Amino acid sequence: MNTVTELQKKSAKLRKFFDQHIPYARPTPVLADFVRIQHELMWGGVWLADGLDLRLRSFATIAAQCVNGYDFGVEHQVRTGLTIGIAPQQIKGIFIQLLFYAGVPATVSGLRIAQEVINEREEWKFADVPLDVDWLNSIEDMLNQGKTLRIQNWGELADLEFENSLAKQLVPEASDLVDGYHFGQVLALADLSPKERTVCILAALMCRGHMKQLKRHVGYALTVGLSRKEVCEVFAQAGWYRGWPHVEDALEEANEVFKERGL
Amino acid sequence: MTKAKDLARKAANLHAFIDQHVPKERLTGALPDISKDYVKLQEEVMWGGVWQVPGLDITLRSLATITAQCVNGWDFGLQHQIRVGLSLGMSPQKIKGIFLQLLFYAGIPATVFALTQAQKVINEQKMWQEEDREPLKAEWLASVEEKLERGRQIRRNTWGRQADVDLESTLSQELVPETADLVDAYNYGEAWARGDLTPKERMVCILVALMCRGHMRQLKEHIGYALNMGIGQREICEVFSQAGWYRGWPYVEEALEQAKSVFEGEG
Repeated sequence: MNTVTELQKKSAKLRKFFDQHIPYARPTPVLADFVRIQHELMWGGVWLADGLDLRLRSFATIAAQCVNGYDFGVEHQVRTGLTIGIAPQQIKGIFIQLLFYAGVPATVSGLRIAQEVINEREEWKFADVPLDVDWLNSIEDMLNQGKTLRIQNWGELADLEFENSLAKQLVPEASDLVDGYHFGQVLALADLSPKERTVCILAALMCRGHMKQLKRHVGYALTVGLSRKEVCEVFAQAGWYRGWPHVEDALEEANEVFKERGL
Repeated sequence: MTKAKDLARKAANLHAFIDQHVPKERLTGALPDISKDYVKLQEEVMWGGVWQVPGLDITLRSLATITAQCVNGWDFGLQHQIRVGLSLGMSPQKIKGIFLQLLFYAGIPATVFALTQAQKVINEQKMWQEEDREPLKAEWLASVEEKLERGRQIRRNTWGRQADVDLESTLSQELVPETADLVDAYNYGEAWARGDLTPKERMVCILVALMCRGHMRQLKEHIGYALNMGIGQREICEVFSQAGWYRGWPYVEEALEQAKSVFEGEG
């Protein structure tokens, strides 16, 4: 069992690392007791819990902040991500991926804030080299490539489920555009690994309460190579940036999938 | 028959009291010029109507509204409702206590944002600033284990044995045990032990946060705990109806559905 002193020690060490590039002095806390809880619980506890590495925790947190939409929160977590060593293009890649899960305004705002933070440091600006992307010429090509990638990453079942979505049936033109650009282009971008994308998607679905779709994606996450523990830890991590009841809801869906798969 | 004229008069009476500390520029702001019709609706429905419905006292209405605004996350909404809460006589520490409690239900960013807005409003008035200079003296326990134990006791004593059983066997306890222990330790063992909010006030905050984010299964359980604490059926329903105006009425219908099934189960 952790003593509070241990949590405080771990927290101080992690914050020293995370906060090294903050370009301003931390303001006087509005409520000192809140800051104490945040330090012990978050930086001393959750961020260092077993089962999910720091980078993937950072991806989950940035995704949660993107859904929340508070500028200060996105800014802070983008800086933390860059400090941990996530590349500027990867950070931008998170927001591009979330276009399909959180909508245009969340992505636009996330990208603008990301650029401001990247511009704070020469080394980040230097690393901010645009990807060389192969843009396909037709929606048909995109849909084909998307199908292949979807099967590769998430398995045959995922492909079948997307082919049979209600959107395909009821808003077919728009649905083809989403699928073409999402699976055929964005999934093909080299900025994020399939595992990293899946972490962002799980966090976004949880934070917005899309439980039916979350359940499907827990299955895809297992197929893409995330472990049972990693999936649960993604929820526990992101939940601190959105509210713990979301974690309980998400774990309920996840547990169903684990049972179905005999995990 | 309730006359619109009476609602408008009741609204004016309430404003005379709760707007006493609102800066002039806010009172004479642009809203009436933007839409007179909206202002008329707001006055008659909200200030003349909902806020003065019997069944829930006005301070708890204010608490429910501040919670809904914290979940919403709009600066103007938070500032306005924090001001109303302070004008109704809530202490600055109580207001901050709401947001500390909500850390566990709405997440860190919502709490940080709301605390920042609270400090801005508190700094508007000398008397609020002075009250704010006496922070709560919390009794911090030295280990997670002790916090968990104190939390269990508080939970059993306030929410009843069933709550303790439910909350000991959550999926998070099974699947992310380290983090779940931290949540329980700091939520029940520290936040709940603080003197800034009464148990009833804490429960109102939680009911509203769960409703506003649509966590219906968890809301249903918490309605049961609220009844165990001695909060009346009518009060629970009025909490939803008050907060719903600040988040959207469909949330009220959903929450009441859960409430009804709990009430019927209890007979």
